[in-house]
Amino acid sequence: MSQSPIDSYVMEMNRSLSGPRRLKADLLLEARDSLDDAAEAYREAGYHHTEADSMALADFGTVPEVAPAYQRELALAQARRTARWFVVLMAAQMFLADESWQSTGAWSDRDPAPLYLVFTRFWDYSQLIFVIVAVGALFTFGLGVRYVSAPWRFARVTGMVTLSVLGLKALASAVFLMATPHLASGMVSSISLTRPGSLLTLVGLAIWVLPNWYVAISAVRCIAISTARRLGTTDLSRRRSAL
Amino acid sequence: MTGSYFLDDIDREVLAVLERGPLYGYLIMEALRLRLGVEFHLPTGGLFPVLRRLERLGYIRSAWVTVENRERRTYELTEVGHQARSL
Repeated sequence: MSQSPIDSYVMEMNRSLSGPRRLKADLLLEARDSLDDAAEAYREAGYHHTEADSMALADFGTVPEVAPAYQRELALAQARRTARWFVVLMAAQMFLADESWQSTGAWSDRDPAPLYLVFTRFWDYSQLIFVIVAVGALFTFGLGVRYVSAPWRFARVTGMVTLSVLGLKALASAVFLMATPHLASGMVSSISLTRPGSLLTLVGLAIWVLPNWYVAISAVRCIAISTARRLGTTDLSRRRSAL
Repeated sequence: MTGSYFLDDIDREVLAVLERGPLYGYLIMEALRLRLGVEFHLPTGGLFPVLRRLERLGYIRSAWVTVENRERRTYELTEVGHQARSL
């Protein structure tokens, strides 16, 4: 069975849009419904099936013309998702990390070096700043959309900042791991096939590391789908300003 | 908060059309064409991102409703949308 022009159009839209799956499906479904309604109205007005489809598509606009406006909504949703999970991740791990250097047991018989304390204090404050920045981003893409005229402009920056902070976080974790006596070696030695606690250690590590990967993937998607080429410039706005 | 931030001409026209009651995309477009005539240049595909934006801003809300035996996303004004209309 051959595809109708409307089927081909919706498939082309599907290929040209990227972003959260559910929102994209919802947008495409609504576009499809509208095209079907328009084609049906033209058929009822006496036009031939093929002609009615073509006229409905002409009214709807070409894919290069309308896709950027759809992509902006998708970029915004992806940025909101990235910012939301970034806030949750940073807040949770900041809370968990607060006492972690003391709870390692590495300092039970001696005091940490002053530089070590400076580093942990510096990292505590940095994490707090990251959480504040992430809350700011979340506001921009949530309630703040009323106060920001084109919030999708910040979607790409959100992805880049998130990735940069995650990189810094990985670096700080590596420094912490190396600077804390016996921490890395203790973790390695606690993972053994013969030790029943190994599984718990591995699950704990996964809980610590996997959310970082999830947020990093969301940030990469945010960057990829928010390019200037995808979001367009002023094509529809020009037509809108004609009002 | 009355919420009249960043409403452009087409946003206001959409709110005006929805003031009469809930409508789905195709009918909103037809109502805009009737209302604005030859001055109206927005392609139908450009309407749906406008509707999403207005929904995101809290001026309208949407729900899937069965109309003429078909599920359609139907839009209506919120309290904020009504307030914006009365400004």
